[in-house]
Amino acid sequence: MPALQLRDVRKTYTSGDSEIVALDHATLTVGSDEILALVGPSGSGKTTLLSIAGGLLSPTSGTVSVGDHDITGYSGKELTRFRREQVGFVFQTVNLVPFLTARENIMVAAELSGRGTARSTRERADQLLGELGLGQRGDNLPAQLSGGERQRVAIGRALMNEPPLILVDEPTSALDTRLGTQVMELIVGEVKRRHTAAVIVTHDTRMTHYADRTVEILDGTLAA
Amino acid sequence: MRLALRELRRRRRAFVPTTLALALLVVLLLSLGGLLDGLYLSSTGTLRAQQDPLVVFSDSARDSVIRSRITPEIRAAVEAVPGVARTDGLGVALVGGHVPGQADIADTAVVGYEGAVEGVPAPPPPGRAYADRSLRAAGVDLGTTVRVGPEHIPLKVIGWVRDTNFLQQGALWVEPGTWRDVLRTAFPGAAVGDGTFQTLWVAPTPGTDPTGLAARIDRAVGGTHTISRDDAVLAIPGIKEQRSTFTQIIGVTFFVAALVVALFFALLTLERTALFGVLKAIGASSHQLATTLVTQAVVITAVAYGIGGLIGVALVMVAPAQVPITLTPSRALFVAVGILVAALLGGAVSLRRIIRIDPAAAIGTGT
Repeated sequence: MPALQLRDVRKTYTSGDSEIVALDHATLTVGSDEILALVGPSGSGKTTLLSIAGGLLSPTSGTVSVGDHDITGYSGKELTRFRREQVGFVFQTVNLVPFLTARENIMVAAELSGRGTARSTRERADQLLGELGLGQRGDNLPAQLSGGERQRVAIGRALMNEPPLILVDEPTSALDTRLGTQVMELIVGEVKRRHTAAVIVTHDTRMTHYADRTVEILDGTLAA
Repeated sequence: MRLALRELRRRRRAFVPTTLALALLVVLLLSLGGLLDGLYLSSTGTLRAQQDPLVVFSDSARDSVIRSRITPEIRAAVEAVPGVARTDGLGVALVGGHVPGQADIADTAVVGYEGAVEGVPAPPPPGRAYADRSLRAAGVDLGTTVRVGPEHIPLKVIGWVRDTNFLQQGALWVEPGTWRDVLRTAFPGAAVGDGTFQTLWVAPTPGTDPTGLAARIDRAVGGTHTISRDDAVLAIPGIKEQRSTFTQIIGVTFFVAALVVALFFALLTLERTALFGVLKAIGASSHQLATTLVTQAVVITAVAYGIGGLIGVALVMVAPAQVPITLTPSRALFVAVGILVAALLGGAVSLRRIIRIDPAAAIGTGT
């Protein structure tokens, strides 16, 4: 079963009397262990697509399925639960909770879902920290971490609940080439190791070779 | 909840100003409440100590103990009303008292009584008195002879009673004859004859409705006004006004507390909008985020109450005896519940904003 299926998805906004088309009849399928790079210039609609795939936005028309979840008609509450259990997000601006340690930032994903005991959650977070090369940084606050380390914690948070789909938004935009490469290698490595699917939005074409497939988007339309 | 507690622990400094502001408001609320209770208790003890539920005033006295006169004839008429089981006369004379070894004259209320007074033994022999414990501050002790009124009538203190003052004057409980002597010498124009009291307290027979009995007494006797003990307490000059004034100030203080919390959490929520957006994006529900806010409001209120309560108790302990401030457990509980409700209401202002935070903002749509 595909990890993500968009069928004829359209997203429009109204501005005064005019209609702005952010995503125009997008159809896309991502395999269950496929890494897809979504490439396009700023304003092309790639983040809108990512938001719709992750249940952050509802499409104006079309259907969206993640695994066996058809989320098109989900209510707000259902989308919240869906985001908690079925997708992992890595945001462009990292967005860690500033007053939580690296370990707690990873644990927060599990705590929100009420999964596991405090002990098992902590053990899992420590395991992820180790895998991400942050074994000694678990007690550090985000302000005490470098940009690359913060991005790695964000990746850990996305992986914490072992979701079938990881959505990554511009992971290297705030990093230099060396760190960007490291982060991309880390994301790809972790996703592949877990046989999980991922959609990575980027405008940096140097990073696309890490993906199994690259799809371009321009003015809200996916390239054929 | 863990998120809330972790933030409180790690960002302690952000919460300190609001906690201290709330603590100061708690001190203010406890002080105001303590003063209100102190004034009320020290003004009404004599009437609150009466066990009988009804009190008869002369009609023209407008429910004033000092102005009222109940003659033996009126008393006999009251006692003849069906449903009246027993009556007890009571009178008060507000006079100065000379305490041996003290330069200042003590303010005393010489209370003549016949019985049925809670916490006060049967009337003592003539020239003897049970003194309210508050008179200790004026130098009175067991065995002390307090000389009251212009003719310095001697009253030897033979025992203590508690919480029985009248109009903030220390009560000296005496038998009726002694009270009449004090009243005659201190206020010749207000002197009363034998058998006359200022008020008459009425015990109904078992099963008699006091309200109905009061109406029947006034109809049958004429020239009287019979009211409940609680109404008589509220009829004491200044009591209603004090209550109303303090209650309004206390209400405004609770409102200010709610405002402080509302502003603080409004700013905090504004500051955390992006963070809440991210948390919503990764699966936090509005309910979970609202719980964070409520938890923090409860914790800072509890800490503020702890700090404010300690300061309030210390202030009451060091307050001079002349300041009628009394901190009761019920007042402390009232302030605790009130400040918590105010904080929750204040915090609730931000709940709408939390609910409206769009998780899509975390990822920045439209690119």
